Amino acid sequence: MPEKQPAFPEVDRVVHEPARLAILTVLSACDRADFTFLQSATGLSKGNLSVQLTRLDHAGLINVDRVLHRRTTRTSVALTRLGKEQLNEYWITMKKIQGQGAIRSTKFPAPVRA
Amino acid sequence: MDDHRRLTFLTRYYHNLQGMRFAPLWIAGLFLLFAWMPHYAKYDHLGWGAFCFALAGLLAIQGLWFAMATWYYRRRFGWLKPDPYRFAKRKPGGQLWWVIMLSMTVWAIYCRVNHTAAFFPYFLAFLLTQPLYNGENPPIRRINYGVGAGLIAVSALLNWLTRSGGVIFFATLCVIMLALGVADHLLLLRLLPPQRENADA
Repeated sequence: MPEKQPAFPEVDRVVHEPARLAILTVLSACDRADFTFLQSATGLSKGNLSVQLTRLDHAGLINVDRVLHRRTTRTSVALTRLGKEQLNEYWITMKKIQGQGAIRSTKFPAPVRA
Repeated sequence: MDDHRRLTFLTRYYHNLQGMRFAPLWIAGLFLLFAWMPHYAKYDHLGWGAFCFALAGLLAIQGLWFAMATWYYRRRFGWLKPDPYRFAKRKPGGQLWWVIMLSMTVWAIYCRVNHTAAFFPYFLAFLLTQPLYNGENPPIRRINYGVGAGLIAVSALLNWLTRSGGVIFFATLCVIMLALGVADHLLLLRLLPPQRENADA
């Protein structure tokens, strides 16, 4: 009977998506950033970035602040405490998965081609 | 550099990478040096009054340029507020940084006792090329600053050997700092990815 493998830990899908992870990574390295900087750093289009920010805002991971300045709206975004915790948890989970992957690869090494 | 490291570095060092903000300062330094050289060589083409007037004008240009460059970077690449606690959390430089810092301190005390300022050009080179000692910087930036620090130190040595009164050192310092500013700006442009549309919404 094959040995039972430990299940991979659950990953937070809101954080795991590459575009959202990029936004959260930027925000974790600063206090607050504006929409233009997030767009420049992540390379996302305006529409896509706006959608991702709305999702993160609804999940309570970021705090979006809109200020009217000379007839234009300035949007600045900051990571909430929950966002910081979720991002830290995400990286801990990823390290666990990486560790499990390393154990699996030593137990069941890839077949060597002759 | 992987995406996580790139994003973290870009965000943390965004203001440091805006190298073009100080460009006129170094160009003004070179201009003043060449304008002042005839005076230094006793030709007296440019008196102290004109020198001070030119200095004030060039500093005003630098201030204006700084404001314009800050506006440009903000409009083109965006704005961010740095992490206020990061400075406190920052680890001191590596072993090399401590060795140089302690050596400089001992040398500065020695110079103070002997009423010379021989340590000053080297200390200035050390202060202006701090990214060399910071392990968070990508290798290319550390190499740039390392080469820059080396050239400034060599120019200070040449200055002392030829007794040129600071001309070689000051000209090299301005050229190197200008080149490092341009290199930082180019690094900033290289760290920004092209716009992508394929991310999952």
